[in-house]
Amino acid sequence: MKGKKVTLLRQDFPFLQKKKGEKKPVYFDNACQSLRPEPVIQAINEYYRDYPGCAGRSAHRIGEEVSRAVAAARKKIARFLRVQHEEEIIFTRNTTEGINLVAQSWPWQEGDRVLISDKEHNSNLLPWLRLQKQKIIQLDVVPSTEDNQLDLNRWEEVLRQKKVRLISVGFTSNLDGVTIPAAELIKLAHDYGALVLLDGAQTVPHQQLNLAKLGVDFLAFSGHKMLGPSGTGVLYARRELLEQMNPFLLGGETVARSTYQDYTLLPPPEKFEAGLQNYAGIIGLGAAVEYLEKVGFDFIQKQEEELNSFLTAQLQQIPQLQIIGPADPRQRGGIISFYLPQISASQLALILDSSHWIMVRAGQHCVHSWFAARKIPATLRISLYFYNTREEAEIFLQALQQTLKIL
Amino acid sequence: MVCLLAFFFLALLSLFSATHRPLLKEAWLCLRRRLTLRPCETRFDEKIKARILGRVITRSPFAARFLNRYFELLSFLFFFFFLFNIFLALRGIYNYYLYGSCNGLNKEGFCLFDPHGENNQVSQLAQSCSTEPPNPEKIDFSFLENEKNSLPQTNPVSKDEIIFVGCYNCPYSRRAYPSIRQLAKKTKANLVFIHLPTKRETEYLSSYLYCLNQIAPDRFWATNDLLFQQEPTKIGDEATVRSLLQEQSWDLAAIDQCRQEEKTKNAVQDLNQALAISGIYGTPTIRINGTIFVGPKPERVYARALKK
Ligand SMILES: Cc1ncc(COP(=O)(O)O)c(C=O)c1O
Repeated sequence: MKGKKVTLLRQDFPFLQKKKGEKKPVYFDNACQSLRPEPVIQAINEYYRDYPGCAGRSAHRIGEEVSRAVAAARKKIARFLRVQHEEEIIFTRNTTEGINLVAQSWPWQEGDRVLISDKEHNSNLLPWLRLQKQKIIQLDVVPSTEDNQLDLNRWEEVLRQKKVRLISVGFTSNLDGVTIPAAELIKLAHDYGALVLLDGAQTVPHQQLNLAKLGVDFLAFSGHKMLGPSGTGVLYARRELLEQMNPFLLGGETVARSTYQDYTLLPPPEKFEAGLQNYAGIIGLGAAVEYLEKVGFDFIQKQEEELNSFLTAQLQQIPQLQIIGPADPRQRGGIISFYLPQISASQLALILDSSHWIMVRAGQHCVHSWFAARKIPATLRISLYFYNTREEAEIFLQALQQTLKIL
Repeated sequence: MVCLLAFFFLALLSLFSATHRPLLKEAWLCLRRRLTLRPCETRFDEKIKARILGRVITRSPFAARFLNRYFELLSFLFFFFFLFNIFLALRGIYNYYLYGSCNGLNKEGFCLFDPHGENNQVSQLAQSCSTEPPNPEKIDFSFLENEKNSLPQTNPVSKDEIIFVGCYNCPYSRRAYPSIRQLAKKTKANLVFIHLPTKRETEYLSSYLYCLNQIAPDRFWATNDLLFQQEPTKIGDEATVRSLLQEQSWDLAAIDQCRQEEKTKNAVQDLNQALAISGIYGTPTIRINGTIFVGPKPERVYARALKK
């Protein structure tokens, strides 16, 4: 039954139908970008073909149509995240932009302190490092446990000792797939008067969230990791927080009125969406959300968990192979990141690609700080999504064994 | 760096040999990839190695293992092989510039700029008494010392000398003749013309030419140019040539009388004998100030030889 569903779903993805000789693509790099199903591609095409206009500023009919479509996408995303107010959804280009938006727009006050974990993606490290260098904030890094999990006690200890303004932390790590106990962390933070920004790049595509219940203050994520078009993203922020923030990009679409001396900003979300927006992308993202809801997160999680368990069990039999993070695959979502001493992960990834058209990622996955501290050169990362199959996993394992024999 | 060098070398090599072209394309792709490669991800050499291994591994794991183990050594060997090839290629260009042949003066062999090797082609003599294979280095023009005075010349006082041994109905002589004439005119070098009948049907022309030059050396060259412009088949037909001479207001009676003279017969015979033992095996054979060119060369080559 489940197998049949995957087979059907796979038919929606044009890339999965491709062939190079006898080889079919094995796409295991979903943490970077997912593939896109036909309805998303169609939505983008429809915009360009049928109503390729500007939203908001133009009164002609296609302009209105774009405005309606963008508003509908915003609504879909708000509903998808169980957010009460649509205006709390701000369209960005990606997770990185969302985090930078908060970092650059928050009214920081002297002595403000920000906490991050020790395994943040560069996108959730560099914006804070810059503010620290500019002496705008103080930044502390809270270490994870031995197996890369978040230790609430350590966070509480820091929160108790220091006055913290914001915690900005990866909800699910792209390095090892570990999802943090966000609800507990948020509660803890709020108890100590701190705000919480979650980097949801690897979470939103894989689990159903209820932001109203979660109580998170900010959540940034990317559309392209959840079937959406490249270069689309969302920043969710509570309305009262958005009202306190000063956008870091100003221009067309952000103001209600301007004179040579002054300007009056529009309310959120407009004041944060400066200039002409990626309408096709936003509309495509709306279609992606709709598609994901149809697939259902129960199915997605089950599918990823099963495949991860199978792959983990097989990989663990390879001598010296080290999987990063918890041994239990159920704690690693769709990600398996591993390395073999003496063997170059990038070499391995390149050979897998050229010999079997298997796409995995090798490197430090933009978490250089974590690797530098542990002196591990790189890992090979498999990142799964619901359309990956057992058959693909078997192809991967067989190709890996074959390659290891010659290296 | 490696890809840049490889691309550069292969670009040159592929001018000369089609087999290098697919490699060139690959090098170009590598170069392009190199330029867009994100430095934190993979190194170029690693990428190339993996691409090769990836292709080999599915066919022969053994070969893939071997390649992996000796990759550095093999790439060095290839690199030196490329260097050697580039040296050959550059030498080819240099030779072509100097001699109109990639392989050196009067040397045959493939040359991209002259794919059919026409710059080395001659119309071979119909029969030769020599049993030796044709060899440009064995050509000896010393017979000219005795014969020169009776041969047509454009400017005997010049110290620059071009000797053109050619045949009127041979394609390669016909190709070289106009540029040689042009060159002699421009530089005032002394052009000496020798008719070498590679085809039997033009043998009869020897005595005519001798007599034309004896009767009116100043009018000889205009007629000679005209003969080279005739359709090759017409040259073999004595009657056609005679009427041509007549059209050019030559006195056929005087020519016929000259042709009957013993002196003419001896001169023609002497020249033919001298040519037969000169080692000249085809036309055109051209000597410019001591350098011998067998086959029609680009004009630039003749001009350079004259300047030396
Ligand atoms: C955990 C995490 N945060 C942030 C990012 C950055 O996402 P983007 O490049 O879409 O801004 C990624 C991308 O891989 C990620 O995995």
